[in-house]
Amino acid sequence: MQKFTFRAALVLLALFVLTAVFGPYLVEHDPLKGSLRARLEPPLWAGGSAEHLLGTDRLGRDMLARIVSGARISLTVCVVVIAIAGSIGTAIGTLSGYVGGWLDRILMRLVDLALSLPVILLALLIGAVSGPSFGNIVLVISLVLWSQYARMARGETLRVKNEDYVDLARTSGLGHVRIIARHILPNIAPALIVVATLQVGVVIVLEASLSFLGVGVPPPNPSWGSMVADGRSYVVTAWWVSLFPGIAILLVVMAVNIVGDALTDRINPALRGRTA
Amino acid sequence: MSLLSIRNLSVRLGRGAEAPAILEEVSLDVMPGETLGLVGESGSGKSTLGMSVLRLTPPRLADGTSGEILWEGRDILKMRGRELRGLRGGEISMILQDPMASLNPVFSIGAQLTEALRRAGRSDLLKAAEAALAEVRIPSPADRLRAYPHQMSGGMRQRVVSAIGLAQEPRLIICDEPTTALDATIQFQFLDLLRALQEAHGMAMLFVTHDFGVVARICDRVAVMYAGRIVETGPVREIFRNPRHPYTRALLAAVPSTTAAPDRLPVIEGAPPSIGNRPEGCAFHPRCPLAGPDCQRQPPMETLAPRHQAACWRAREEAVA
Amino acid sequence: MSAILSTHALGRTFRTRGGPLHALSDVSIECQPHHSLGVVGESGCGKTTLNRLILMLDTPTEGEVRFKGKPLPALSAAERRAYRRAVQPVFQNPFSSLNPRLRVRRIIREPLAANTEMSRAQIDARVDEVLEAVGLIPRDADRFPAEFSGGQRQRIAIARALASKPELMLLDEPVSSQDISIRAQILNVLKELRDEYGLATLFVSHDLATVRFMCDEVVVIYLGRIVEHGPADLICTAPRHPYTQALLAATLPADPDAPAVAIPPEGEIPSPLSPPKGCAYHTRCPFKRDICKTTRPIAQPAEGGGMIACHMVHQGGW
Repeated sequence: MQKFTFRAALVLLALFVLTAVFGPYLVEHDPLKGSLRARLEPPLWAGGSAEHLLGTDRLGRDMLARIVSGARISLTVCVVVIAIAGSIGTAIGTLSGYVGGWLDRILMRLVDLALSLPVILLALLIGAVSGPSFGNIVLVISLVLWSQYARMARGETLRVKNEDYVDLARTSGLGHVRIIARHILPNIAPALIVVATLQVGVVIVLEASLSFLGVGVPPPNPSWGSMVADGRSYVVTAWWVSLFPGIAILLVVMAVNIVGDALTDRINPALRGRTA
Repeated sequence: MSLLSIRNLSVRLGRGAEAPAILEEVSLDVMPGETLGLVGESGSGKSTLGMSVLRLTPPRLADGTSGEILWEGRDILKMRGRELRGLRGGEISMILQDPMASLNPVFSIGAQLTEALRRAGRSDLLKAAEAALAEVRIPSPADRLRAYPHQMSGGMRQRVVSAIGLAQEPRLIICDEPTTALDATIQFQFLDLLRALQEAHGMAMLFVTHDFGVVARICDRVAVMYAGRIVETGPVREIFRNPRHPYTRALLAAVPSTTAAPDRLPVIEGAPPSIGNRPEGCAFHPRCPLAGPDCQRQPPMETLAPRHQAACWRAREEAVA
Repeated sequence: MSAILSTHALGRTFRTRGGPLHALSDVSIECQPHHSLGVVGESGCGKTTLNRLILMLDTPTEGEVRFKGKPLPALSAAERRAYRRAVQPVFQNPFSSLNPRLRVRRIIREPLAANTEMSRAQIDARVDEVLEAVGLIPRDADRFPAEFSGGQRQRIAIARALASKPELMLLDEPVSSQDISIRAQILNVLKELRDEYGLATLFVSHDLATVRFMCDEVVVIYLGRIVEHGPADLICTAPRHPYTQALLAATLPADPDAPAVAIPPEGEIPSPLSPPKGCAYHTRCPFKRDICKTTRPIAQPAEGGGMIACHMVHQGGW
C-alpha cells in the first residue's frame, strides 16, 4: 500500500492513543457537567464562540471535552476486551491445536457456538436484565470476539506443531508446558497480534453500537456511540452533536484497519516462510 | 539454424544497469530436436532463464528485462498478447517441478487433457485423450480419464502434465526441474519416457536441473550457470570429460558416486553469492583455486573447441592437480 | 549388548480410515559404536517412522527399540536422559529445525539444560566449542536463525546435536535439500566430526551415492520391510535384491558414458495402505516367480555379508 497512507494512519492512531491518555487533563471543560444556558451551541466556525470550539450538546456539555473523554473510554474498552478475549481465545485455541483429538473437536464446537451468538440481541438481553454498565459491555463484546483468537491460535499452533524444532524439543525431553511456552506461543504471537490490531476497529464499532442502543456504557459517560445517539433528535438542527463523534469513530477505525492490513502483509510472508 | 536463440538476456530487479541482476548477458541457442541442459546451484538464475523464454517471470521483473529471445526470427520479448499466448502451450510448452501446481485439482485429468486437445484442434477428443495417456505410459488410460489429480501419484501426475504439454505438438519443451520431487526409480522412468517422447515427436528440450546425473542421462548439450551467467557450455561428453571452467570442474568433483568412497569430497569453499552480492568481474573468483588479478574483469566466452565455450581467463590451462 | 541402539522386529501400524497402514514391519537393525549404518529407501518405505520411533516421538505397535540392550519403555528417568544425550538427531529441513524466535545460543543450550547437570557457564563454553567445530564462530551464537543461509543453519543443527557429546547421530537426509557444493561441505564436516569424536551414525537417505560416501553398512527398506542388508561397497555396486538393483540403476551417475542399465526400474511404488501380498516388491520385480505372489520371503544370510529377503536369491536364482 502507499507509504503515505500507512504513515498517515499510524499518525492518526498515535493521536488517538495520546488523546485518550493525556487529553482529559488538557481540556478545560468538564465533559460531564453542562450549563443549560449553553445548550446546543454550534461549533466556532458555524456561529459559535471560542469557548466551545466544537459546540455543546443538549445539556450544554462541551463537545470537544466529551470527544476527548470518549477516546479514553473507547481505548479502555478496547484494551480490556482484547486482553480478556485475547487471553481466553488464545488459551483455548492453542490447547485445541496442541492436544487435538476429542478436546479439539469439543472446543471448536464451542467456537462455532460463540460465532453464532447474535451480538446485539445478546447485549440487549443482558442490558435489559442488569442495566447498562461498563462490565456488561466488556463481557458481551469479549464473548463474541474470543473465538477469532481461538481460530487463529489453533491454526497457527497446528502449523508450528509440525515444524521440526517442536519435534526436537520433544526429543530433548521437554514437557508440554515448556514446549508451548517456549516454542509454540512465541511463534503464533505475530499472527495473534495482527488479529488484535484488526479487532480494535470492530470493538470500537461494537461499543459505539451498543452504547447507541442504550445497553453499553451508561450515561453520562461520553462514549462516542451514545453521543451519536444523543444527537439523534437534532440531526438537522444541531448536526454537530452526532457528527463529530461519528467522524471520530470513522477516522479511528479506518486508521486501525489500514495499520492492521499493513501488519498482515508484513507478517504473512514471514509466516508462510522462506524463499525456495 | 537454431530454433531458439537467446541473445544477451539480462533480467534485473529494477531498471538500469546498476540494479541487482538475476541474469546477466545470457546467450544460448537450442537446435531443433536437441536437449540442452541448464545446470546450476541456487542463485544461478537457471529457473529464471527457463521461465523467461515464455515470459512467465513475475511482472515486476519485466522492466528490468533486456536482450532478445528469438523464436524462428521473432523476438518473444516484443510479442503482444495473442501471439504470445499462442506460443505458450502451442509451439513451446513447459513442464514444471510441482505437478499439483500445473494441474487443476477440481477437474478430472480427462477434462484437462481434452481441453488441451481441443485447443490443438483435435476431434474425437475422448479417444485422443486415451491415446495421449497411453503414450505417456499410464496404465488403464480409459479409466484414468475420470480420475482427479489428487488420486494419482507424483510420477503419474507428471506424465499427465507431459501429455497435456504435448497436445499441440510443440517444437520445444522447457522442463524446470520436473523430477526433483520424484523418487529415484520414478525419476528414472520419467526421464526414459521424456527421451522416448522426444524421439517420437522430434521436439527440442531445454532442461533445467541441479543434478548432473540427470544431465548425463538425457542431455545432448549442457550449459553451466553461476551467479546469473553461463560459465561453460558444450556437448555433454565433452563437458564431463574435459571441463574447462574451474567451477564446472569443482562441481563435478563434489558429487559423490556409488563406485568410490573417498575419505573426503573435494569442496569449494564458501557459498554461491546471493543476488545483489555478486563480486566484481568473474563472480566465481573469490572461491576459485586458479584466481588471479585479471579475474577482477569479467572474462568473455571463449571458444575452445567446436561448440565448447567457457568464460574463464584460465580456460586453456590444465586442471589443478 | 555392545550396540548403542538396536531395534528388534520393530513395527508400527497406524489405524486409518482406509484400513491399517503398516508403516514399518519386522525391522531389526543395530548401531555399533563408531560404526556408520545407512538406511536407504524411497517414499513410503517407513524411514520417517523409524526415526520417530527411535527418537521416542512415537511408540511401536510391535517389537521394541533398545538402548544398550535395554528396551526404551523400561528405562528409568535417569537412563532416559542418558539416552537423550547419547542419540542426537539432525533433520532434513534446516528452515524447520531451528526455532526462528530463539537465538542460536538458546537453541543449542536447550537439550543441554534439559538433560545434563551442566552449569550455565559450562553450557556457554560448550556452545562456543561446538560452533567452532562445525566451522562457525562463537559470535554466531547471538544471532537468529534467519540471519544464516541454509547450509549454515544445517551446521547449527549439527552443532546442537554435537553439544550433548552424543554416541550416535541420527542423520535424516541432512543434505538432500542443499546445493551440490554445500552438500559436499556438510558431508565432509559430518565425516570429520565423526572421525574426531568417534561417533556412530545412523544415516537415513534415499541416495545410494551419499550413503556409500558416509556409511560402512547399508540397510535397504521397501514398504516398511528390510529387503537387503550388507556392507556399503557391496550394496552400492553389486546388490543382490532386485529392488536395490533398481534403486542403483536409478542413481544416475555424473557420467554420460556409464554403462547402459541392464534392468531398468519399473512400475509405481504401491501405497502402504494396500501393499502387495507375498513379497511387497513382486509387482515391480522382473524376476518374480509364483511363490513371490503368495509368500513373503524371510531374511537369510547373504554371500559377502549381511542379509537378503528374496525368493529368487534364496532359490539360487542367480
